[in-house]
Amino acid sequence: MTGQIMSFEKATGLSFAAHVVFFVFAALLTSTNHARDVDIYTVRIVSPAPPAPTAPATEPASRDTGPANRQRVPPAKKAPPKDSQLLSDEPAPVRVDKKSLALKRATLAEARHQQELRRLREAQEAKDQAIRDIEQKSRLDSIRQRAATTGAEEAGGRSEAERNKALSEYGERIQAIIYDNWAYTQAEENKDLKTSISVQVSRDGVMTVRKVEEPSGDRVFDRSALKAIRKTSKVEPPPFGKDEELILNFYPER
Amino acid sequence: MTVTITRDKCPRYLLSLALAAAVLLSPQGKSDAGLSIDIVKAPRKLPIAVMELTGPYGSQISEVISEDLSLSGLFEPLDPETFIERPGQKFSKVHWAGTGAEAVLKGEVVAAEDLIVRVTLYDVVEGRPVMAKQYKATRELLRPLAHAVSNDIYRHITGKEGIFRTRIVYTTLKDGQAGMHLADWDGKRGRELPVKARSLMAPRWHWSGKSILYSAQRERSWNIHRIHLSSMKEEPLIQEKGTNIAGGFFPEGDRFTFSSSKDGTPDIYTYYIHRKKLSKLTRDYGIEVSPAVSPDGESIAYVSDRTGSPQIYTMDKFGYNKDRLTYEGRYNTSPSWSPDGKTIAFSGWKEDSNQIFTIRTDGRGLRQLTGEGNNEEPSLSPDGRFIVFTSDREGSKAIYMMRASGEEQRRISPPGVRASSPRWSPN
Repeated sequence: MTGQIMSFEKATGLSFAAHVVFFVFAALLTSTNHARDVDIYTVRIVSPAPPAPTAPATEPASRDTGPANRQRVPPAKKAPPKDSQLLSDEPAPVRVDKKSLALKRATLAEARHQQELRRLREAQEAKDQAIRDIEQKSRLDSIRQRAATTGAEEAGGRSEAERNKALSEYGERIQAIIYDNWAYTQAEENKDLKTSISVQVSRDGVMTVRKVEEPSGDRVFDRSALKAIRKTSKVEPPPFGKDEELILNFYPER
Repeated sequence: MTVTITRDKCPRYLLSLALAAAVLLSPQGKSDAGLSIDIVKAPRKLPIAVMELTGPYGSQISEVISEDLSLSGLFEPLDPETFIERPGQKFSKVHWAGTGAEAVLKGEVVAAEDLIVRVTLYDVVEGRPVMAKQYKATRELLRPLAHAVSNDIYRHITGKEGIFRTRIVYTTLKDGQAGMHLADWDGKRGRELPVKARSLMAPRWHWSGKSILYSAQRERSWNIHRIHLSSMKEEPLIQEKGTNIAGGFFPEGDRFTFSSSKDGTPDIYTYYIHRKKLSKLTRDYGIEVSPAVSPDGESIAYVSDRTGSPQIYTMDKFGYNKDRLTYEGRYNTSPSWSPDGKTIAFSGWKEDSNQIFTIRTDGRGLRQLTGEGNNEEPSLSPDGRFIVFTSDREGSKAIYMMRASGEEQRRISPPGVRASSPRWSPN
């Protein structure tokens, strides 16, 4: 009797151990994801190559059919899991008869045909789009070119007028300074004189005598004009950021 | 593009037109040159700093120079109180930058047996000396020395000869005795010439400035004499009967004109001194007096009453080609030429008084220069910028000076002296 009880207890323990082992094994089996890995791999194989036209021309690597490129294909665009298994090159884990296999092969061929047609359509559409893009770009370039030309002309006209205005106002300010700095006295009244002197005003406003273009014939009068320029020496910079040449004509007021 | 901007002369709308025209006329509106700017300005008195010369008599000399330059009407001597630089200090343009001075005169006087004056004229804009001179004179000639400095400053800055060493001769009347005075251009340093007479008239300079012709009434006759300023000796030249009144020397210096009534009514004559030869230029009925020789010696201005009233006429040096110059007024006398021969000053009767006028030799441009009292006997300075004349505006006759435009009239003869018939020396 003790032997039987022991045997029962032993059987219970073994049963328990067997169950534990079973459940552990089952748990281990259910925790593995090998099948999903296979699924992903399968989809990858049958997925059509991305249409060339859609790939950016500036990225030559996109034309590459290598693995690295392929991995970029998002899983959402893959075939549904059911179809995925059909498209798999891996041996199916289930039993398949010949009839259904032929059906599947026909379906696969049709799918490939449709896929090819779709690819061709997309390629054509991409080509048409590229042509449209080129034409559009050409039209835009033409418009831009015309606009640029017209704008340049208009802008050039305004610039000339503004330049003249700015130069004239600048000249008036220079005139006022020279006028204030010009001091001369004249022993011989009512003398008709004119002294013309060309000066250069550098972009930083330094005024220097270039040449006495037209002496008056009165040495003292000429000297007074030169002194007025020398006394001025520094003025505001010319309006266009470049050196400016001025002709200063000095006249006695009669 | 050439844009003309004229200050004060050109209204703004004309400037805009000029600018628009320049833009339109320039090829394709492009710029091809810089701005052309007109600066029109009237001459003005030049600010000058006359610093007190260091050493003895320095202040007196500086004062004379400053007065000369001021009276010239071309300079504005600055107030020494505003000077930052001291007389003995080295010149620096920085010291004068804010004063407005265009030139600075500095110098020193060394008084030994004679006065030795060293002056330097600095140009403030240039920041450097532009004239340096040394003068030497006896102490009695301090004023002429100072005038010589003024002349050099004037010449350097204006390019023209100054008149600060010129002299003015005029007649005086004191205690019934007529005399003759010689003064500097400013009326100062008057000295009496050794000429005495009951009456003296019409002193006239020789072109050399070394002798003076004049008419003197001694006894009952009016004769013409000359005094040589170097020797102060008197030389009788015309001793004809009647009234002989001196006219003026011809430029060659050996011939002069005068009016004489030796043949009846006064006429114009010339007299060759060395040959002692008389030549009659006018023979018209009426009175011809007050001959004045033009600076080039080709023409003679004179007074004639041939049309009824005394008027100014001109004729050539031979007595031909007579032209009447004045038509305004009924009594015009005392013609005097300007140095350039383009203008004649004279005295004319207007509104119950004698006044000074000028008129161009073409008969145009008549201008009245005086208006207060009686003003007569004008004489122009060698540079034509001033006129001396006789005026009784303050009671008795005295010598006055004014600008040729009539401005800045002032008395130059000393008070208490009855003076008339001024004549400006040629040099």
